[in-house]
Amino acid sequence: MLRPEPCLRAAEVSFGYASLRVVHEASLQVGPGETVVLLGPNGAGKSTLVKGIIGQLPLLSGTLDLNGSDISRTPAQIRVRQGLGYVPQIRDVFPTLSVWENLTMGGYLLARSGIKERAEQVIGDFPALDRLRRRRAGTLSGGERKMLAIARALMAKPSVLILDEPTSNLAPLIAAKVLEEIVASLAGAGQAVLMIEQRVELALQVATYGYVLVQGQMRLDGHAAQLQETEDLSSLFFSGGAAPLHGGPEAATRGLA
Amino acid sequence: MSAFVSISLVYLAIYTLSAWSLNLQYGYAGIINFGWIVFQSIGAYVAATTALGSPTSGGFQTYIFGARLGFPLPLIMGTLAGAALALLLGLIILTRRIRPDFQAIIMLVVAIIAAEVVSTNTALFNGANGLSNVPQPFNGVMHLSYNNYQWFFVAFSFALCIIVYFGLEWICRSSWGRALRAMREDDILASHVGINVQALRIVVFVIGGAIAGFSGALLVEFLGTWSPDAWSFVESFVVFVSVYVGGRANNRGAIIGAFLVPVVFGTMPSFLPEFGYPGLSANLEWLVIAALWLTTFYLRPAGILPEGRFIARRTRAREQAPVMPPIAKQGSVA
Amino acid sequence: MNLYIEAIGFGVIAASSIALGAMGFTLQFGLTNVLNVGYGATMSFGAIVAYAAHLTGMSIWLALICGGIATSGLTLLSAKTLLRVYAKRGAALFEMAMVTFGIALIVEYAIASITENNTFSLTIAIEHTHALGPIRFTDVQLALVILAVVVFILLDGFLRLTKVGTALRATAVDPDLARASGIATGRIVTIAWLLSGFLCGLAGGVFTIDILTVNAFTGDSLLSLVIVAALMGTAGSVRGAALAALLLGIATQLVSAAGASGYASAVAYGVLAVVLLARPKSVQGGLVADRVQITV
Repeated sequence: MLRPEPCLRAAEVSFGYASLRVVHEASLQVGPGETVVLLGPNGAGKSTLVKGIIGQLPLLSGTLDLNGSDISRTPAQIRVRQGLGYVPQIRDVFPTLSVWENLTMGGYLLARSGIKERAEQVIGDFPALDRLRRRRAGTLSGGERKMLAIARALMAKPSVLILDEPTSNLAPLIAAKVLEEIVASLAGAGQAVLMIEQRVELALQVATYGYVLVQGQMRLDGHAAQLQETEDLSSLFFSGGAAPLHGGPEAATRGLA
Repeated sequence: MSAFVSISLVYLAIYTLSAWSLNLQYGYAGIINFGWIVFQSIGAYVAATTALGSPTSGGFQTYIFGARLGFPLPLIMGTLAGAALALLLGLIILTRRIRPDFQAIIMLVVAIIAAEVVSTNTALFNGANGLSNVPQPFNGVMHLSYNNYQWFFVAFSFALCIIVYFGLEWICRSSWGRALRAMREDDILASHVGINVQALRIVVFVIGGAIAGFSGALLVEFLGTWSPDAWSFVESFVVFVSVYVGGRANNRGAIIGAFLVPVVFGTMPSFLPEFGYPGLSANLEWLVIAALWLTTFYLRPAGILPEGRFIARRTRAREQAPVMPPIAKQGSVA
Repeated sequence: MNLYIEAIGFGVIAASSIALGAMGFTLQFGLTNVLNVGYGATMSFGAIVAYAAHLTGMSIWLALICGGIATSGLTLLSAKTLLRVYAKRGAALFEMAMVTFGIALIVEYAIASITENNTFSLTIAIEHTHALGPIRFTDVQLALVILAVVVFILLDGFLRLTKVGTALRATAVDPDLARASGIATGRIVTIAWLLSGFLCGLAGGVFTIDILTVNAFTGDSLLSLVIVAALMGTAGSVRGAALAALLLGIATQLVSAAGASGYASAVAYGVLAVVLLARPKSVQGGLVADRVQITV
């Protein structure tokens, strides 16, 4: 199976805090229509990697490109303009603003005249939001709130949408709904999605491709179907990366083994 | 000249006590008592009324609970008054979790209300005119000249300072002092290791209040007068600045802060020959104190004598810097 | 009885300057989390500039705008230089308040030094008085109230109906998310400081026109009421600030009318202390629990 031409490509990137390097030379790519899931045990550096990609942490080494242009040194708000959409794990909507206002904020970078039209389009894709337009976002249920957060990020027509643990605060049933209905439909529409997810089984059912980050290093990657069959996926999680590596083709070329 | 030196030294002693009191509350325990001056003030008023004797009808000043107690009772009464007010306010304010800057506002508000109530209600402490003619300790007995009495007061107040200093050092170096710092750094964590944070906060607030009351009592015994003009809320700012300049959570630093800020820049200029229009030198004093605060806080945010190195970074590091996620910590082990 | 109704009228007039100040204060505080204790000093600055402009023969209304613009500039300058320096060094919330206090002392005593501690009085010719039941308004007083109402409507409309206004509210709730949505938060913060400074200067000027005297400390007597109104109305809420200002203005005048004028502001502060203690939700956070971001 060939992967599509990537729109976001991180090559051997390292990120960290002050003197502490958390992510070491990790590589990943996401292309249109792909739902790429970033897996890994707690503390592996998944959130750090995502924070680095969206520009909240400086790049220590490696390169980052978005749609062919280098964004390694681009400030966070410009990366948004260039097509990175981001839905944080918590604090993902503006709670005191109405649903409609949240959407207009998502489209902040669009031309003034286009905001309303785009918001109607997005609501068309998420009809459940239609009757909630005037509600304050802080009063929504967990699932509705996550839907709004994703819709808000889609307003700017991002080329890559990054979801940081979209189901972390949701009950299992709602979590499955968010992944199976909302996230899966994004890929159907050609959207490139990169998400961090703790619910491994569920995520691999929805995703097309997966990466496993352990102790700040990419230990494994492969098509979702392949990863689902990987028997020692969970041992990789718990052993801290000591297990033998069964990397996909890319892992081998990176020479991590 | 002698008077200049002796008066400055008495002020040094009193401002040192003030800085210690606030340092205990803020530097060690992290309680932002922006109404600190009220505690000094109640100490002063109570010491004054318990030394003045009962107000005679038709006398020129009116006040409550007048008594004529001999030394050292007025000082003790003033100290107790500071402690009692701290206990009362502590129970109301410190038992709630409130954002630190809002806590500061509440304290500030208390100071403003107190000043307004005392100024307006002449039955309490003679209103805006304040109390005067407060007898000085031993002055009637010892028959010293004015200058010698001033020097006697210097020795007297220094002796009291030394006692308070050793008491404070004992407190701050004991395991109790460590509990205070633990609470300042992270009150939730402190409560998880078994420190009764609320009780500790109130106790330390009361001790600080007692020292503040004591400093006020000593001040009024020295000055002989006390009125709302002497304790506008801005005075609390001055004491905060001396704690910052000297170095938070450092009792020796507080002496340096008290010397530099209120004594050198606040009191000594009043001995300079008057220049310009009346009030110009007072304006300049305030400009200098404000500039001193802004520059020392910029150049030496930890103060001249910073807190010992064995202690983790101060509250601000945690309040502002990105909190290291647990992810990062595990990553570093690898 | 008429005494009390009149007091309500005076309260509404007094509320106009409190409301202007409180709206500016809450806008800036809600967005930057810097508790600007120096607001009183900048109100004095606005008042003095307006007075000076009026002395040059400018109409008082034009002078008021001048005061607002000058204060706007001063506020932005001190925010982007001094406050920013300390915020970058990681000053804590309370330390930022102490920094604004230091700035306030410098502004106030610089004005006091230049004006030689004088208090100036203002004379404005009153052309008409209007009666509304037992309440009597002069032209000028009516104009002040109308000014405050118009400013309130414009500001509220700006915050609710325009893109930049909504972005301002969004940044106040969650600056990180705002940045992640592509909002240039730095520019939004600048707009907030400018607006807040303008309203601050306007409040100082309006207060001076109301009480007809001005000195270096004029703003201080208004400051505590402004902070009370801003915090009572929830930090960041312009509507809340305006409503709280109206209530406070009327309450203080009623207390004065009842013969306890010395306690008028004590009542207001008491209300604040109760509000802060009884409404922990808007003020909680403990020393550690919630990180409050300072954005200057």
